[in-house]
Amino acid sequence: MGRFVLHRFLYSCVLLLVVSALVFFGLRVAPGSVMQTVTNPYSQEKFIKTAEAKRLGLDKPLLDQYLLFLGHVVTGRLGLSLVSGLPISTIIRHAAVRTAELAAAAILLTYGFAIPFGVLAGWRRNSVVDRLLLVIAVLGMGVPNFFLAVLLIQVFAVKLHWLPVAGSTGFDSLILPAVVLSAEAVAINFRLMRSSVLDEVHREYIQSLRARGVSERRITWRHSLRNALPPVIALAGVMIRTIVGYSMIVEVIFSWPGLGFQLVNSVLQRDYTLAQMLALLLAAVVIAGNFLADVGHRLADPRIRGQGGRA
Amino acid sequence: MPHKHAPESQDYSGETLDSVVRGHFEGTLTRREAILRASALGLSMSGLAALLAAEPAGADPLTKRSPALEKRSAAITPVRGGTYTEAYLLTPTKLNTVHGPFADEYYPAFFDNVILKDPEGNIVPDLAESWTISPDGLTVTLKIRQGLKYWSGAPDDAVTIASCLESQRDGGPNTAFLTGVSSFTAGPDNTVLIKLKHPWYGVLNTMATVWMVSANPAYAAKYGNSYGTAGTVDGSGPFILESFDPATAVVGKRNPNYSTIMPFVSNKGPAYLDKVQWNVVLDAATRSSEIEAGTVDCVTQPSLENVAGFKANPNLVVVDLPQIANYYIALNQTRTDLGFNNPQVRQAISHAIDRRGLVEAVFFGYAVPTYGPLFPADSRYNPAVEAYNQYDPEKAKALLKAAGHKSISFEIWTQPDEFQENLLQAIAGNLQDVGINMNVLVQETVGFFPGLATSEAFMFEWLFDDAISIIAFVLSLPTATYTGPSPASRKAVAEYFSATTLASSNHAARQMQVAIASELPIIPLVTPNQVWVHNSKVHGLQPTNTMIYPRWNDVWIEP
Repeated sequence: MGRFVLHRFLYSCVLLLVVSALVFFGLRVAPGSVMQTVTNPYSQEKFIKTAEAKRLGLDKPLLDQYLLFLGHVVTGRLGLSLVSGLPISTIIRHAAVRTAELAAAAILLTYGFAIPFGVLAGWRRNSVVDRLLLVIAVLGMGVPNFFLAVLLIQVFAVKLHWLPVAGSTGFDSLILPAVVLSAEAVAINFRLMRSSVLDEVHREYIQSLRARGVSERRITWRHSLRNALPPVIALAGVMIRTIVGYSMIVEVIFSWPGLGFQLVNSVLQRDYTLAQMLALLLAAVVIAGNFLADVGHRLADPRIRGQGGRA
Repeated sequence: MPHKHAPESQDYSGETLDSVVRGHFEGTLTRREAILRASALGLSMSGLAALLAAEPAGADPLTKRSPALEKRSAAITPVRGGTYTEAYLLTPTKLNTVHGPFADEYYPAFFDNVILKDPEGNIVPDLAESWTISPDGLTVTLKIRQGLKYWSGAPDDAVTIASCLESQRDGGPNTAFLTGVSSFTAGPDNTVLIKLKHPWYGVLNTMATVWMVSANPAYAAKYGNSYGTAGTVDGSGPFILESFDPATAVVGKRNPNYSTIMPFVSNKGPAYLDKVQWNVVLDAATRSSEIEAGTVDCVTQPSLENVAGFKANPNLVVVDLPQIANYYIALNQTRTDLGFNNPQVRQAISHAIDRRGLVEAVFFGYAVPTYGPLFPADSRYNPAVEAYNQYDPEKAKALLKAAGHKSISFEIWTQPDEFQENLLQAIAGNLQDVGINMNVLVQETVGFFPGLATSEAFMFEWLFDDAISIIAFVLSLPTATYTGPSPASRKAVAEYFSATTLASSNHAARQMQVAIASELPIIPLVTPNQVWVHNSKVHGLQPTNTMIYPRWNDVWIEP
């Protein structure tokens, strides 16, 4: 188990290094430059742009700038945004809190709804409840999240005035973005949980437990749930990646000032220092999510826990 | 009733301003006819444009608000307090008065101008209380008000103001517009001396633009790259920058020591509002939802298809005015293979474009067809340009044939903007009808300007307080060869920049418009409206089309 964890950790570090190079050079190769954002587009004076490039450290060779970027990452001194001049650590800290709030809310909603309703639907197969939940799941998977966002804004914000349209002004402004972000994940995990429970329902150990007089409630929520969870846990890494990826769209729609919102803006403005830090951070979250899911899967499934080497 | 077509020499006796405006709203007079009749009655273009543009629900067109709201407003004394919140359409840029790329809408909240324009287009005092021009026309002396202070308490005087203006002239955002100025220096008796390279009356128009503000230069020197955020800027405007977060909001709190002499502002002391806040809401549809839901007090440039609904909403007030802006197309005249150096080809392209159709189809009526370089509501607008560039596909085909071109195919650049892309697609349809194939290439903003010189054509929208300066400048974008020799246009521009009196300046401005309309170094298209939608509880918000941003001192909110 220890060797497995070490192997996965080293693999993750190498992956992160490759991503850092892709992000850094990708941004530099893309057409345009931060100079168009930080200097007046009406100004054609070359000396202004040259002086500004020097002031921002963009006159150094690319490799030097890349090594400086890696140095910042390793030492934790992240530098300043080229566009706003604000410390990147401050921007990331504020944005990370916002994204963490949104992601946590979405994850809570995802597993808070998917697991219990998946169990319920699995045990009440073909009942009215099961059929209704399946329809809702299909809608959750089929409706694009940007369309869902517009729909929910119109109903709950514009017509009913129950919730704010956008921004991050308080707990109520978290609700709509979290619902939109979790919709597809809830649907997917619900169906997975349901089918996993259906697999468990007919197993012999369930019959044995009944024969021993164990209550249906205990059989459902303790025994079958634990055995039905591994597929959902295995998918958790993918779910985190999905939620992180979609959070960019949701943050832009709702003007939620999280990492995705900052990343989209910084890339469009070619704010190199901020964009590359944010892109690397998001990649690190995804890589860490996969790492934790791999380890978690190993821990949760006793059939492979004792195995060494690769799973 | 059918439209009446009034030749310019018709007798308008018996006509009143009321009948002109009502005629326009009832559809019996076109906008052009209304302008001609109103001019005969002595009303300026900007004054009439303001009346014609504002159509709140159920409103008497002679006022900008409904009679019921007007009565309420008159009966209510302004109330001190509250926070004005606006859904802002751009990512805020730092308030960097020295190197900033863009002067956002909140600039007038935090900085005062040296001089500025009132809603009628007249240049009026702000930080400078008066000005004189030397007999040789080479020195403009601005007398700065005594006792002015920045938020920090440091003196805001001729020394600091001259330093700010000099940084604009030498490397700042206004460098390109101040080439006729050799220096800004502090003179005796708290005066700022503007030394000119040659006599130039128009320098006052350039001085009355959004960048020509006063901010404590010591802060710019001290904070360097961080200059322009909360705590690093020291202005003298009615609000003090409290927080700046380009991801969420820009917030200002009332400056308790503020005073002004702007003649068109009623409140000459500290602002009524406790705070002003611009929330970042980049998506037009979201801005529309925000104002409908009542979560903000105002939005600008909402989705235009929603504006009719806003006008019908009794809780909202819509103000829409032609902007000091203009969409135009520039054809690379070094591309002789495409015939762009041939005036007949350029005229053919211009005549093929249905500008009125574009206004209705793309802008839902919230724009004005523009046949010359200046927007129609400008006080110096020359209606003679309307004799040029009218929609005439048959004339376009004939011109192409005379130029020896059966068909032309080219690529045009634009920035990623919904209106620009839709506008170009509609224009492409018009051009297809006369045998011209135009492909639209959307370039990211950061890549647009660096690559312009290599493009075959591009479309751009300029937005600036001083229209003539920007027109002169666009003739040099990206290089002088792009917009061709255009001798009459460049001669007229040069005459404007050497005009020494108001009369000669206005004459040169009018001549310049006709020269550009006929030679077409740029092909003007439409002037979009600025659309403001605010809650009916907001009072005193006065967007105009003489300065690109309103002032904030008179704004207050009903509790």
